[in-house]
Amino acid sequence: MTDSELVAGIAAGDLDALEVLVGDYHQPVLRYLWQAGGSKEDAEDLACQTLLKVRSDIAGFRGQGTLRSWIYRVAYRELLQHRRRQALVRWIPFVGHETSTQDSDDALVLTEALMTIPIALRTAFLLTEVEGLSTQEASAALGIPEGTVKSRCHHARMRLRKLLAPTFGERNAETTID
Amino acid sequence: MQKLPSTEELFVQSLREVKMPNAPEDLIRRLQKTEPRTRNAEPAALYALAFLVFFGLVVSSFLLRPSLSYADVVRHFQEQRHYTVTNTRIMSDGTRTKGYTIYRSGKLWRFGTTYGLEDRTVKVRSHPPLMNYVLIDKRRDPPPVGFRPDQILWKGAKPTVDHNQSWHGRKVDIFHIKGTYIDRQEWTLTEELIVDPKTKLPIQDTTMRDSGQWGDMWSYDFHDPSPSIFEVSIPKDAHVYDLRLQRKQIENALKTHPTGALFVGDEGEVVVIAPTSSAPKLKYGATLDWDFVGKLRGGSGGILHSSYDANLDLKTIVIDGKLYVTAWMMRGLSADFLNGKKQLPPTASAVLELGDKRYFMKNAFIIRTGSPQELLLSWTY
Repeated sequence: MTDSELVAGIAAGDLDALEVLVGDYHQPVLRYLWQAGGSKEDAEDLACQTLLKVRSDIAGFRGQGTLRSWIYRVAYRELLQHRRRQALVRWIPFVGHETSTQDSDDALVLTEALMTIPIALRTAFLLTEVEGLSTQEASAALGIPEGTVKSRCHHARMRLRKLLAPTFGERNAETTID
Repeated sequence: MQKLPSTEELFVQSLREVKMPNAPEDLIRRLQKTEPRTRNAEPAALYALAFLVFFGLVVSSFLLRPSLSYADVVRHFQEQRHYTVTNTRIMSDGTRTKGYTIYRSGKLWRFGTTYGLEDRTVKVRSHPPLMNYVLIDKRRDPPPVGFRPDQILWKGAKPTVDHNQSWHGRKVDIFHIKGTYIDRQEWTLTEELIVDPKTKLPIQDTTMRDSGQWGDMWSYDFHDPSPSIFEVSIPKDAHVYDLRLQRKQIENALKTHPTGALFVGDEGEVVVIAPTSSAPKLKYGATLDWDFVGKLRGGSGGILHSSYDANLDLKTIVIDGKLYVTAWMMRGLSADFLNGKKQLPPTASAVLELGDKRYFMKNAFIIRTGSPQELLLSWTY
């Protein structure tokens, strides 16, 4: 199904198109929102909101870029709105932010490590390196020039290398667990 | 096994391979129920009309009434570097109690007994006999104050303004904002911001939550506070801790003892720092509930009470690019170690019991450091 066929199907509420939308985009968008935002629970809500927004605002897609970059742009906006709301929640005393204990250890460690990279760098890095968007698509998704995408990816990689570089002895030396 | 991939490529690959849950079963149905918004067939005409209306509004706003907006107030406030902000708490029964005061004079700031000086931050915590110490750390930015520039972005927040109102014998503009915030459920929040239209600066801001049940009021003064406000007085007999040095001490200790360390503070508090590879499945970044009780007890060294329940506060931090989990034992060491009757050994084993699981940390390095809890609370990488 081409982008234009999918867009027409989404606009018409065609079941096949909606299934393609969910099948092709739910998990990538969820992964992006989780790794960019740091919370799996929030990302699950935001991923659904993103697809619902895609359906309601599909008329706003004018075909000037790829549908994929437009969907990531919607996801990015949802994430930013969510962070603004969270800024208020954090300000209100005694309201904590909970994360799940059910996620795999590896996923948690990766996400925790990603959170040490500023969100502006993180989102550019995730879109290009993990989600496989071209620089042009990431530029459209984030609403920034292509040069800025490249620059942010470079700085994200520098941060990541610093994080991954062994600084002493044997990395992650283990202790006995009984 | 919890470890970071060793290379950038493996890290990216791992990110791609993180398993994602399936979409909720009802998502397709919800998508079908969602109605797409339609676009006008002749958008150019619509845009032209909208532009004319907007242009008319802009012109009329300049000609017919003062143009002060909430955004103007935000911008003018953000430009200020000299002010005193006094907080008053409004309780659910209507009583008002004095809260904190924030002072700022250029780069200098003060929040209660925490001082932001040119090159360092100083916290004075002197309430003898309960506590009497001073913490010195690297310089930090001043804390945010009550008037929140991002309130305009709150969900549903639409500021309205009443211009030229009488308030305590002066003419003011009063902004009203109604918004909501989510804490498990949606709550209401109202704000009344009183502004001097001449200076475009806030005079008083009152934010009430939960249908007006409780809230805060902030009063603003934009005169330069007296220099004496920022003079730090070290209380007599207070213990002074330099967190900058302690941070270095912890980093060095973990370099030489990568399997983890037990840090013991002057008050007998104990903090365990262990690499995430040896830590149990924890709630990353979250504070455990109070009913989550663990035990931290002595192994071969026997330095901790053998059956001493403690509430553990578990967090993760990054030190020198490596992830660690910290477990804070709230109740700490027995008095024998504090008064010198028993000596701390150089290393000890520890058992961390969480629920029905036990985690054994072997030969953890023991180091005495001034105030490890405060240090780890303020840890930044």
